[in-house]
This record gives sequence, C-alpha cells and structure tokens, in this order.
Amino acid sequence: MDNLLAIAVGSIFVHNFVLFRFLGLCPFFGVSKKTSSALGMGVAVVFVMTCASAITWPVYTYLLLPYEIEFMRTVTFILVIAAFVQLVEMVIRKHQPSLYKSLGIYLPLITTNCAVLGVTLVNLEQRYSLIGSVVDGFSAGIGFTLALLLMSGIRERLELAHVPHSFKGLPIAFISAALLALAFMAFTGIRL
Amino acid sequence: MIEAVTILGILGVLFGMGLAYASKRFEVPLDPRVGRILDALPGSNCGTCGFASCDEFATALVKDPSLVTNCKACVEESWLKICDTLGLGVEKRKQELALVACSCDSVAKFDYDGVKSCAVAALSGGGFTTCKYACLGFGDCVKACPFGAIEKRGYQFFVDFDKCIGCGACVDACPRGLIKIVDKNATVFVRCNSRDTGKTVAKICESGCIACKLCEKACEQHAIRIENNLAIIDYDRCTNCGKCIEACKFGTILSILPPRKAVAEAAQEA
Repeated sequence: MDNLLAIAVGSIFVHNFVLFRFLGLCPFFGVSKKTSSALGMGVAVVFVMTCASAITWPVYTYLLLPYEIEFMRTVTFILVIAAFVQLVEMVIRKHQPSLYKSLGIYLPLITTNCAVLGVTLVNLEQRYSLIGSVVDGFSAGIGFTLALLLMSGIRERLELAHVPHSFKGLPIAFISAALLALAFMAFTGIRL
Repeated sequence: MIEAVTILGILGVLFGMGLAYASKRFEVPLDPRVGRILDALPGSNCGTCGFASCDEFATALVKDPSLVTNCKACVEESWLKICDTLGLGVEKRKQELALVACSCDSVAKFDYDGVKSCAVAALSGGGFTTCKYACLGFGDCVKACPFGAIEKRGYQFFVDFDKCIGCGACVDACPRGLIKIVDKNATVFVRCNSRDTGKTVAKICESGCIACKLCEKACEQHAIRIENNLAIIDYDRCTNCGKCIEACKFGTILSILPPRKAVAEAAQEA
C-alpha cells in the first residue's frame, strides 16, 4: 500500500509539476495573467489529471502489460487523454453550459498539456497502485493550481510595480518564475 | 508488433465510435440563425465589431440584433441577408472609408538608413521628412490592412474604395496619424495633416494646406473651418458640391480630393 499522504505532499510541494519538473509551462505563463482565469484553468487541470490517472492505470495494467507493449504507452495515453477530454467537453456543454463557458477555452488546451501526460507517466515510473495514481493525479493538479495561483498573484502585483521598460511583461514573469521555483526547491529537504 | 497494432487499432476505433455516439447523444441544438449569419459574414475575423471572431459576433447578434451595425466588413448582399435572418427591416448603414491625409510631396531632410518601418522611422531624429507631419512611406498601413485595400503607387498611398471598410486598423498603425476615417459617400477630402503655419508649409511642400481660408469662404454650407492651420471638413454639413475643390485649385495649395471617379482615373494613370 502506498503512503497516500506522502504521495500527495510529494506532488503538491516537493515534486511540483511546474516548479520542480518544469512541465506544463505553456499554460503557466499563458494563463497566469489574472487570478480568475488561473483558477479556472487550475480546476480544469485538477479534474483532467485525476481522471486521466484513473483511466490510464487500468489501460496500462490490463492492456499494455499483458501483451508486453509498454513501449507504446506514450501514444496510447495521448489517445486516451484526448478522447477523454473531448468526451468531457461534450458532456459539460450539454449539462453545464455555464461551467462550459468558464472552462470552454481551457479544456481543449489541456488535451495537449504535457503535465497531464507527465502525471500518467510518473504514476507508472513510481509503480503506484490505482488509488495511489488517482491521489497522485489529484495532488499534481492541486500543485499545478497552486503554482498558477501564486504566479498570477505575483503578476497582478507586477502590473502595478515600476518594472524597467525592457523587462515589462513576459521577461519579468520569467524572472519571478525562476525565483518561485528556487523557493520551491527548499521542499526537497522534506523526508516523508 | 502485431499486438501493438491490433490493440491500438481497437482502442482507436472504440474511442472513435464512442465519441461519435457521444456527439449525437450530447448534441447541443444551435440556433440555426447563427449558422446562416455566419455564412453571410465575411469570415475575416477583423475584430471591427468588437468581438474576437465572426463566430462570436454571430452568436451575439442572434441575442442582440441591435449590434448588427457593428460589422462594417460585409458587402451589401450579405448585409441584406443578415437583416433578413434577424427579422429586421433593411437599415441604412453608415459606410466609412480610410483616406491618407498626405500628398507625400515632402522631401527628405536626411538620409534614413534604418529599419524599413514608419513606426521606427518616425522615432529616428523626429522622422526624415522636412514636413514633420508627412507620410514616411514605408507602408505600415499597407501591412496593417486586413483587407489588402491600401496600395503604394509611386510615393503615394491609394485606398481601394471597394475593398476598404473603414475598420481603422491603418489609423492605429500610422505613427503620424495621417489616416482619417471619412464617410464613404464623401467626395471632398483635405489631403494634408500639417499644423505648421502657412509660411512653413509653403516652403517645404507643394500641396500642403497653408490655411489661406479660401475654401472656408467658398463653402456655402459652412462645412469647412480652419483649425490649427489646417482645413477641416464637417461631413455632416458637406453636400459634396465641390466648391472648395475649385477654390483650392485656384490657390493650388490646399488639395481636396476630386470626386471619386476622377481619383480612380488619376490613380490608374499614375
């Protein structure tokens, strides 16, 4: 049995997907201008990561492992995640139009988000059980949201700050992201 | 090898069928008017209407038909179709046009050898033209036009009246603010933007406005006034009588565009 708490704390803080593994950087800079959109994106990612972990684990264990085609896992997972996100989009559009409107643009973006694929591959690498994978997916999503929210908070403040002209916009965002990542490195000292 | 192909193939087919079924099962009925309006819209996603795309505009239009005048890019035929779909009577819409307010007669005061862009040239030494209001001629407006309506012939820039919709993309692109949006039916236009005094303008340009006020006096509608050494036409009052053109021709200094037909001919000769 995996230590679920260790997995959760590990993926939220210690191995934060954005700030430690450097995955999903595109939405990290693209959607972190405003806190509200960062939260929307974060919620969507939490949802997709959790479900993707839950789906890919049985696909890998019961389909790929028995036939010894583990090397196809990246392709298979992309297929699974893309199909799943499409399905979720349709269901949400039908039953939750308001949620669809707020998530609408982010959901298709997530299909090709490397952090989602990354979490499923990390699950296999760490040999987590099904429950462990789901918890890892969920907490990885929370970690992603945390990073996104921190970044958007910083960037909203930066709008008001006197930033040198040549550093305005993305350059100062990169620098702040680097400092944020440095701060997160401190969590590697935690032993669980 | 065979297992890989088979399993992935089966997975792909299963997902495909599942999604096909889901798309039917969870289909959201769209307002059929949106599709019809979208067909009629130009699809250039120019953004003049205030929406990011024609798609979004069509959706908003069905909800609020009063937005219909926002689209300036659609041709008359599509305009009628959209009004018809929305159940509106045909409204008269104001059509506008962009015109370059410079004759490009000003000579260079130094050799400019930098980036071939008006925005950059305008910053270097205050611009290389002797007239500090003159056209720099690198065609930032041509690049900015989403409809390919501006063309450079010789030193001058000509606007294709059929292509131009008055979206104003070029207005923002011109670092000297030379491009004016005017009523599409207008036949007179002050082709100068210089606020220099008449004396200065006369020295450096053959066709700049020297604020002699002849046009102001000639206009029976009182539609022209001189402000900051420049003639300005009030198109709400203007009746396109052309008296100002004659008056200015007499002075040969303030150029007001002749009727559109003549412009087109002149452009062809050039």
